[in-house]
Amino acid sequence: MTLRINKAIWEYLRHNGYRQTEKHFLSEAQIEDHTKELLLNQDTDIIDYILFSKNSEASPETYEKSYLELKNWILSSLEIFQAELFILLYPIFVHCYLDLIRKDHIKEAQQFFENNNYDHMAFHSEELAILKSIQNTRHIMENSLARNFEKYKFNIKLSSYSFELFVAFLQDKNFKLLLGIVNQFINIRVVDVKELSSGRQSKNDIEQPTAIITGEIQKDIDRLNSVPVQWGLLENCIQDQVAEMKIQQKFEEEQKKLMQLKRRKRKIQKPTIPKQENRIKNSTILFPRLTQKLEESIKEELVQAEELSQQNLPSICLFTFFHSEGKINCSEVSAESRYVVAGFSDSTIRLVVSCSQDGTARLWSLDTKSNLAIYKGHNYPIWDVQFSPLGYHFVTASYDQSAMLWVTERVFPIRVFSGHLSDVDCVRFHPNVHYIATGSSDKTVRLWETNTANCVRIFCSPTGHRGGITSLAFSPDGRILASGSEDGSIILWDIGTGKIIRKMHQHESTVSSLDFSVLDGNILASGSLDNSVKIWDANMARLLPDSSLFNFTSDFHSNEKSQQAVLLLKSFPTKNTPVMNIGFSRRNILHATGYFQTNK
Amino acid sequence: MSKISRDFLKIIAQGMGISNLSDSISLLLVSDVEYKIRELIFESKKFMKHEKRNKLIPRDINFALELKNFSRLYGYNCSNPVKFQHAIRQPDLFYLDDPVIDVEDLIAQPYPKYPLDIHFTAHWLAVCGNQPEIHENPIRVKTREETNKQIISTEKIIQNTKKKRTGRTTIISVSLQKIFAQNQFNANQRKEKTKKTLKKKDRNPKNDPRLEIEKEIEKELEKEKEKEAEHHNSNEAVIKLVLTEELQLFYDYVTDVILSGSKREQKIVYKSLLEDSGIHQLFPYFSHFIASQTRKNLNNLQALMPLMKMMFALVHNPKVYIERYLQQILSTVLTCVVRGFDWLNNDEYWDFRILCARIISDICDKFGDVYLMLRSTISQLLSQNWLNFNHSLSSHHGSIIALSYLGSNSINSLLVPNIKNYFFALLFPIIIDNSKNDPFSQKIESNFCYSSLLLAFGNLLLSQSYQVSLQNSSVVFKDLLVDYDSISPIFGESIVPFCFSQNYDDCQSLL
Repeated sequence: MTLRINKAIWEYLRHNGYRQTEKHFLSEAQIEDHTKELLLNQDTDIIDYILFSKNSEASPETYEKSYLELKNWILSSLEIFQAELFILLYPIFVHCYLDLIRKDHIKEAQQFFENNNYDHMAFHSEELAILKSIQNTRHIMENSLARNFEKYKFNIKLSSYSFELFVAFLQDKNFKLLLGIVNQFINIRVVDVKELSSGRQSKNDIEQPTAIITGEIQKDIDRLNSVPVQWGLLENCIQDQVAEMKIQQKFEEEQKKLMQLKRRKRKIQKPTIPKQENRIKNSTILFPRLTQKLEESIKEELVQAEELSQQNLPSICLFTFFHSEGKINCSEVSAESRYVVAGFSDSTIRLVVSCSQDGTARLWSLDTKSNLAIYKGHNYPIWDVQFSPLGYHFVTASYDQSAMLWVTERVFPIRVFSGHLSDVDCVRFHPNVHYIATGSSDKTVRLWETNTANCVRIFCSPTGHRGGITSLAFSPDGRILASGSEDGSIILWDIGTGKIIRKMHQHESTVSSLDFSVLDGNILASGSLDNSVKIWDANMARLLPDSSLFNFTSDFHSNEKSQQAVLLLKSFPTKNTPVMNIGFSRRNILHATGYFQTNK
Repeated sequence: MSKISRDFLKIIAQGMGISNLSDSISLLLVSDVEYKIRELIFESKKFMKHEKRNKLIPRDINFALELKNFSRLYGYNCSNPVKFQHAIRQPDLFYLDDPVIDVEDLIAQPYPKYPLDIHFTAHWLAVCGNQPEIHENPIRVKTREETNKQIISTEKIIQNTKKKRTGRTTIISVSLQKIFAQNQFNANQRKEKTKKTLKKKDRNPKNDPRLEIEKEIEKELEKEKEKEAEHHNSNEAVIKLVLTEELQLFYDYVTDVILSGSKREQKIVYKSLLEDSGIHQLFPYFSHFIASQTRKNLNNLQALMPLMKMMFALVHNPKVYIERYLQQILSTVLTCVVRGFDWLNNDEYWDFRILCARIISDICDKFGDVYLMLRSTISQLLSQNWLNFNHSLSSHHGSIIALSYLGSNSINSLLVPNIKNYFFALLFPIIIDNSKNDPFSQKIESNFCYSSLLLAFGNLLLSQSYQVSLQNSSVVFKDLLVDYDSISPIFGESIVPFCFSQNYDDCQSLL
């Protein structure tokens, strides 16, 4: 606080040109150079205002009045700034509402909510529904969402000009109330226009950016996301071996052909195996080796896998469960297409780690069809469980806002990944096992280092998902992470930079499952509860120039929808069957599972 | 604001032994109870989402209760839902309807049905990126552009074949889809022609409409035959539509039942035709079957009724796409609408007329947006038939019913302006004629016409007064229709039941 007062005084002295006094003041207050920098921060004006204005008791009517005036001002401002400034409205709306409740103006709060919640219905309907249920101060303390709103700041990026506009507006009208909220709950970062538009994927008005809460302030996120991540595969991994085998096979075939055709001994050069970059040499994670036999069989199947591309689309096998509506919980087809597994609500698993509402994970044996081990660690329901690609480790995601790493031979977790602000809904291992991705109901995806349990990436963006994350998938080369959300959107993230590569919004309902085709990763398949399976060109999505490079070439972005249509290779509707799970087998046949809905 | 009333809370508190709950406490409690219930629902929604469902079920709420360390609620999971009864004279009091069951009765009851076991099937949703058109997959509705493209490509192929045919015969296999596309193209052309000719011919009052339609059908059949023959010539290889064995069996069964089944069997068939999704492929066959059987049985109501019911079911099946066969359907059904019958003493006669009218009006509703002239052409045709005094009264009756089913617009614009004229010129003399040489049946027929007109007019009044009441409740009934006064003497008091019941006084003053 003293720092702030000091700053205010300093500002005052500087402003009025009292040079000498300023000097004395600086030496006497022991303000050093680094604090000076701190003081010269962007949001000077706001702090000034807080300090100089008496925190008078605001009447309940002023909340609505100031909110409405701000809204009108934003709506009447120039169109280019409208989108930017509109982001500010939601946090202010939320905090006005919570403030009113905190000050025990329940009726006014509800009236305020009723009058104005339609402004934010489009993007925040879920959160609004929760907020609406809050009726007194105690509920604010109890409710996790409201707590998050109080505890963490909204991160908002504004261009410098629109920030100036905003501050000028607040000064003009003398809105102490709004200033207080902005200062307390919103972390505005002023960026130049270029950076702002790079964060946004398209310049369309359809993609209205929104304010997000991640728990960290934007600076920290940016710092975090700039830490390098080793996304390459392990050295000498099965994928590389298979690629080698394939090249070898091709070479031999060609040789044979030549022999048959010309019967002349002409040597063709043996192809050199391309050196794979980004391989992790010394793995920090220990895991037992697969048995020779198993490894051989996996390799054999992978070699036979069909290469998929835009021209060569996969075959999809749909497993439909009948008479199981409301009974089936989850289902999966094993990668070698031998087993179809489904979990049912009566706690049976029909033909193999399973997770459960009772907070346990269980390991099942396929040979004896019995329960081998029970892993208890979460106190709350476990939403998802996933084995590492090399076996041995597995990770669980739970209601308690954390994920845990386990090894099969210990009954306690060996790492806990916590940081999400809401339930962790899904979890996936990176192909090199060094990282784990978690998707949460707080609309963000985080990447964790397996060994240290540190968060290394937070995937979030103002134009990111509008609903909780329901599915994740890593590309086989480990470079890209795909996430699917409740709102039906799919986003491809670049793990290296932590930025959006592309957003695809064609599903009408929750994206229940995502998977890349094995080995090449050219095809991304998504299954959704809107009764369809969609096939996307992941390669194209990767190759299309990153939108950040094309800041102002508007015609490139003007037809985002048609671009999406290019990426969407094909959509396969099913017959009244919401798709629960999809996955490519090792031979690149897409397996999908769903339950048959009897009535609409 | 609160959804839960304070009285309700007080009653519960009384049940727990707390007799005097102060207002301030109950107010607090009410808001808290509501919050807790909402919270519970949000938690249970999480379970629903993770089970990848869109429907919340009791189990989700039980899980959420356990999550919040409450005990489960038992008794809501069973298949027969719990029934709450309203306590008499206590607006906020409910009790569980829990009747005493005699154990002996329970034992004597037959076993409940064994629940179907969960099983799963596998099928190809796509093979190398193409969705096979099999029963398990949904039927893809082709967009108009796609069909147009196909038509163009088919035309080209046909032109090519014609050119080639002059030289030597060539065998070209045209895929099934292309044939369909071609058929549709032809059908569209023919349909338009038919309409034009129908219109033209109908202006000539001396012709009987049913004869015209029959003639049209015959002509079309001939044309079709010609086309088929032509087709046969142009493509040496005859392409057969291969139906699966199951579909063929189904077709045989359905046609058998429709022609000579019991009513119970027929009912099952209707239900199947109305709801089954895999029968689209059979529709052309069904359509042809109905058309040919209708022509055969034009004087046999017992045979016509099931046929039209079958048509009704097919038209209303959301998974059967009838657009390509509209022309055939319409000509068949319109025949049944405007044909004069002499089964007035048959109970089913009126039902039959209504059924046909329903089919026509539903088709107009469904495709009116696509074919803009469809509704107006049909209603014109019907009204011309109705006002043609040379046609039998029974034929008039059919037209009136069909017109009234086409909506208040057609009633207002076509029926209402002519009611007076029609009534006094045609119906009235017959009704008041007491001479014995007049055939009795004609009297019944005229009564039928009269009452169907009454129904149409009354329904119009009802709907209009309803619309007006939506806008302004105080509008006087008289303002509704300009020519109400001219028509009210025709119907007299019998129009009263249709008049808006809410403003009964108004109606009284009118009449």
